[in-house]
Amino acid sequence: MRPKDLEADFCSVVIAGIMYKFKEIQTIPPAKQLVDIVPWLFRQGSLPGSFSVRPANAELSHKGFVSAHKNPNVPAPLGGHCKGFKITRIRSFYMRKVKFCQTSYNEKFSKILEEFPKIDDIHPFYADLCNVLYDRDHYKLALGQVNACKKVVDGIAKEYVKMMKFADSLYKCKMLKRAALGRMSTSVKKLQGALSFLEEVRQHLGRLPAINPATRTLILTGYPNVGKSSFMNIVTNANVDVQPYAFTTKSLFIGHLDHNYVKWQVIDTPGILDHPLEDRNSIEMTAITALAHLPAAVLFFVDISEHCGFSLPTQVALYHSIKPLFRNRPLLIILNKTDLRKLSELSPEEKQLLDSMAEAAYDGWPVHFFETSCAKKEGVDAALTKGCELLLDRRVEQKVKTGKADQFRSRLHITNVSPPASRPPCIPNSVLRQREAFGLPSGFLLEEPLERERMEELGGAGVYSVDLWRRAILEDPNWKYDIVPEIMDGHNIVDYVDPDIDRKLAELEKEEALLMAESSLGNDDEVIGEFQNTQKVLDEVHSRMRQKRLERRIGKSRTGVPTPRRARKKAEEVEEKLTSIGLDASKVRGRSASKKRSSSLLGKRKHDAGEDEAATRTLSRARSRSVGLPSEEAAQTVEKKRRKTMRLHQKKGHKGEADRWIPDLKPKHLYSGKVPPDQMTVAVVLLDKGSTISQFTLQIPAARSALEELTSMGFEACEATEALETCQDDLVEALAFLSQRHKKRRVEGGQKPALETLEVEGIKCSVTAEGELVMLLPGDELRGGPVIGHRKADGSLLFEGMDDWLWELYEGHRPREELEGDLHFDPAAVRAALEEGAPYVWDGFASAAEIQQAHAALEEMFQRGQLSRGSGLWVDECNEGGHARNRKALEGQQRDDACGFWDVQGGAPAPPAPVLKLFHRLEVAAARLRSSFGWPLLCSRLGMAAVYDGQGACYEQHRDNEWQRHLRSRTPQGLLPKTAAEAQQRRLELGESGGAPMNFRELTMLAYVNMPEDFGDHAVGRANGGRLRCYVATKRGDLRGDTAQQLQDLEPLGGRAVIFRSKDLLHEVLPSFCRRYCLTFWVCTPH
Amino acid sequence: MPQNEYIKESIKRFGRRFDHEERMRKKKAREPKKIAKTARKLRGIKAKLFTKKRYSEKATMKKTIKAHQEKDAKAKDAEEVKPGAVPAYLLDREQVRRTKVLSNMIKQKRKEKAGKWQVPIPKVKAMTEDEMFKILRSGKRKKKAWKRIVNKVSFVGDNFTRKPPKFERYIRPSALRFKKAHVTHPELKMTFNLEIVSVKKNPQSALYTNLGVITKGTIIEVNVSELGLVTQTGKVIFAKYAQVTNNPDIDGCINSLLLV
Repeated sequence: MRPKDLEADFCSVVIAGIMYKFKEIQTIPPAKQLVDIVPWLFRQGSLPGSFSVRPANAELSHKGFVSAHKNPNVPAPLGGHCKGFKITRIRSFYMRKVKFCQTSYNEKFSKILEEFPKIDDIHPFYADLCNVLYDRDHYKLALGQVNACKKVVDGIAKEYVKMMKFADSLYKCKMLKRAALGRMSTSVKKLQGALSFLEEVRQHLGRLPAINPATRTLILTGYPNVGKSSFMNIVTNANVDVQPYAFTTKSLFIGHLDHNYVKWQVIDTPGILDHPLEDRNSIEMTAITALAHLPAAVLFFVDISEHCGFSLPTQVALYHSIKPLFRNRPLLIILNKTDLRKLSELSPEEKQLLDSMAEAAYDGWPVHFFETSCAKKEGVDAALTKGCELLLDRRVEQKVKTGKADQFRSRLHITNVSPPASRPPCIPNSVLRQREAFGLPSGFLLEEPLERERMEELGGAGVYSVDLWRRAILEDPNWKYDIVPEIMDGHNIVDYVDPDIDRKLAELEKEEALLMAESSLGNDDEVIGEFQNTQKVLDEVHSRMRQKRLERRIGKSRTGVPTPRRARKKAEEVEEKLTSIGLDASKVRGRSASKKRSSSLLGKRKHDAGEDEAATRTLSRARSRSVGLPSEEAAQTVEKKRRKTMRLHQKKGHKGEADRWIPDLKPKHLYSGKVPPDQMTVAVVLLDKGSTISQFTLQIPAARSALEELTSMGFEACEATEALETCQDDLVEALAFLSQRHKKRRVEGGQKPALETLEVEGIKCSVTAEGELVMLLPGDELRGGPVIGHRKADGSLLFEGMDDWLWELYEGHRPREELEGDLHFDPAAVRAALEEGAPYVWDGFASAAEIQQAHAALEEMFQRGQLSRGSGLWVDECNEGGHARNRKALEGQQRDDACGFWDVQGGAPAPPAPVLKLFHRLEVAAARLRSSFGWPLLCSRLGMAAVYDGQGACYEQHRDNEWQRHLRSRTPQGLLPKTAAEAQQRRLELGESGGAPMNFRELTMLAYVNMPEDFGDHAVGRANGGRLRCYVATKRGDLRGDTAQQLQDLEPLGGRAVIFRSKDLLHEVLPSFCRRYCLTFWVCTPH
Repeated sequence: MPQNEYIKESIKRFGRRFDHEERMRKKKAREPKKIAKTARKLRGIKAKLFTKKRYSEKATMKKTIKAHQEKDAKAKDAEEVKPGAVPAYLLDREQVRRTKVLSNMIKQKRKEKAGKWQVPIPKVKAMTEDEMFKILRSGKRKKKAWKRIVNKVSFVGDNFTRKPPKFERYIRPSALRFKKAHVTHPELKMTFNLEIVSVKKNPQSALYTNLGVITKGTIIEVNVSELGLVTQTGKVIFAKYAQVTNNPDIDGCINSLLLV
């Protein structure tokens, strides 16, 4: 037998090919848990082909099919379908559940039955051990109960499946299933005791020592506390508990030892007392079991010192009583604890007792006595060796006897040649000779001392250092300890060592010491202090620099995503790289090659133009900003300023000119009058020669049909509505009312009703024969103004609302002439200039004194902050919602001035007196024009003042109210074009761009209130800029002045007035570098 | 080599780890939180099982606490008046209770007499024929519908032989034939699994009685010889009536109450 076979696995024991996997028995759940486990398996989806119905527990109902069936107590109709499932399908579903539950239980139980060792089949040693430990009957009963339960569960499943075949409703199926699972659980629950017992057995079995009953074994036995376990601990590494009291060892312990190159197992047994077998307890019985069934060498321990508490005769008596168990086993009697009492110290009676043990041996096998002392470890090895030898002999003999050895013997060849007595080493003669020559001994070479020995010799560890060169074989042994040059980078380091370096260093140190001695300590502090001060200053400077740099970096406006500096590569570099590796680099530049444009705005463009004429031609012409400015520097300053303001805009995310902008999200004209017809009301005021007759609100839908009826009868619409109002929309009564009042006054057919004067939403207007609602102009009642609504087909009036410019017209009045007499003003020249499309410049409009007064007044207001945006003493156009007519327009324009309105007709807010005077003068001029040419001019109620704050403030090119072009035209000629042809006609009339047909601003009068030293045709004045540039006779639609025939720059000289048609003339205020006041007055015309 | 009580052994030899007590204390202290967390987490059937278990645990705990509290509570007054105690001045008088006993006996007798014809379930829900029978179509084209399959549990005697198919109107499937019933003795409060002798009466209809159909409320005759009941005269009773108390076709078994 080879040692390999002996390697006993501690988890399992191999005996005659059968493996006892006591440790691998699976845990047995308690019955209660088992009941839960099995239905839990349903949840795991182990149930094959289940519906999408949640599986159920035995005790628990679930939602599934049943949920479809409202009342579970009422069975479904015979053979009916539940939730669309056939009854057969439902049946099979529930059958499967029952069967699944049964198989699950079955598997569990089968596993238990299979895994637990069957006492009749296992080795008698284990069988007896089990009997001793767990009681064979109890064990068998438990397993039998499990088996019985398994059968019961099977029976239940069978029975219920059979019954389920006749179940005719889901409810029945489900209840049967429930009952089946319940009954199964009940029967399993009854297993409680058996299962818990088996679980205990399982745990104990797993912890049993893995004793291999077939292998070489030594069994230690004897009375308690005689030193069995001590012996065990000496010979093996089992580490059994040893205590100085009896029955320390309560069960079998196994230890292993190697002897004769094979593994042996040593079994330590609990002590045995000398009494009949029946009286032995289970602890003793385990020892007896081991002795009875294991073919092993027995080591019977006797404590001759009697320290164990049992006298020698008792121990011998035990030997005699259990002697039959030692039959056919090698027996050694260990006389233990000789350190306490020697064998020689025994009395003759005692010796005789011991001898009696020897005599009683069986079969003539000798009994061996060994004196041992476990405390001193004396005689232990001898006993062990003897025991092993005896057993091995016995086993070999047995094997030979049973023929088991034959199979080995046939394969072995055993020679009879005996080995020679002596075999000295053979050393060749040549070697011997050579040795002789070297003076070495001729026999075996004595080995050199080991390095360790040398170390011990030469002072031991820590003192001794290994001589690495000792064994070097060199031409001359003297070279061994020569210094080896250190070479670095091919140079000998020694060559570079200055031999005087130490001396030089010493000198330097000396010098330094002298210097140190010279300079005093205080001096040192001064130097350090100075240094620190300098450092502090430098630190501050540096920190400021950093701060500045940071500020500049943050202040920079970035439009694009920042590219890391390293990643930024020039196109040329990429090109070069690509060409170098042989790729086509033509596409790298792409668009940038063809459209290389300089980003700088002023100087570079000119430079480019000189270089490439063709490129210049293709360039779209940009308006030069330097034109009109006194110098290039000024232009650059302006540009810088512009950029600065833009930067702030961009940073704050403000609206810029490039942003999409909708002038008015809800323009009033588009929303007014579009009220749904049933909610529409019309305020009707009946007037008779200017005095109000009656005033009421007419609800349109209720009266509509009646009104139509009445008007078709020939009544006037207003009368009809009035009648309807009084009669509460009753047609018959209204008719009676009318006929009684007017004696049935019929209007002749074809004759149209006269122009009526109405007031709609506080606006005086009238309805024309064409059915248009026409605004009545102030003082011009007979002449209709612009159309503000119309009569609809059903006779009702549709008021389309007032726009800002309509208000301007409506609130206008005839210019008053009586205010001032003398004017240096020529109406004819005005007319001529206007017809040319140029502005009329009226110098000497006011005297220097008047201008000075007005300027002082304005300046004072400005200083108080009353002429800036947001102030209240004028109506700040940009801030005030109500009065700000052009507000929307202004927002989109590049306009830097602050502008506001005064009521120049005596309302509030009123301008200062000197300023009012100037406004009135302008009004007089308008009156003159009206009277001279019969122009229907109306002065607006409001006058505007604009302040350019002299920081490059400008007003870009514009026409007044230009944006109205984009709005719906509303002209006296008609309303919206009804057909495409009409629209075409309209377009032809108005010109290509559509024109500004609703622009009633006929003339714009500007009066500059500036001191002559600020503006004028001198160096300072030119530098201050602020001129009014007029693009004379530009084409309509041109907003940049490219088509201008002539440019006219007008200085904003104090006392100068300018009259021009602002709606047609493109004009611009150039950047002003001095504060610039300008009064504006508008004159409107209804046509 | 771990063998036998190696864990105990190890503890004996090397002791516990130094912070064992602390860890145990903490573990114990954390236990309620852990349980609470589990309770919050669990869903479905696991949760149901868990709560049920926990409920029972808590109930036992409360009971134990209460029991312990009772110990501390004041003992009842030992001087309590026992029933039947009489004041001293009445002690010498003779107590007459016979009338009372007599009337009790009469009452008992009456009760017995009246109860003889009373059954535990006096009324049952009527069943339609649809529920009771399933129509079995016969004939070559499955066009005839005169055969019926009994859908309910039935009792068929030992010596029953099926009629030829032509004459067999009612079929009692063998899966639904029951031979035994659980019979509870109301006085003994015990249940026995006894053989059915016959179906005495099915309250639904005489037809069902004839067919041996067993539904709720049916009176069946069971073999009680095992019980060893004797009549007043000393004869052994072999069969007794019992009333079915459940729906056998739903529960899969017959539960009945012995009529005594």
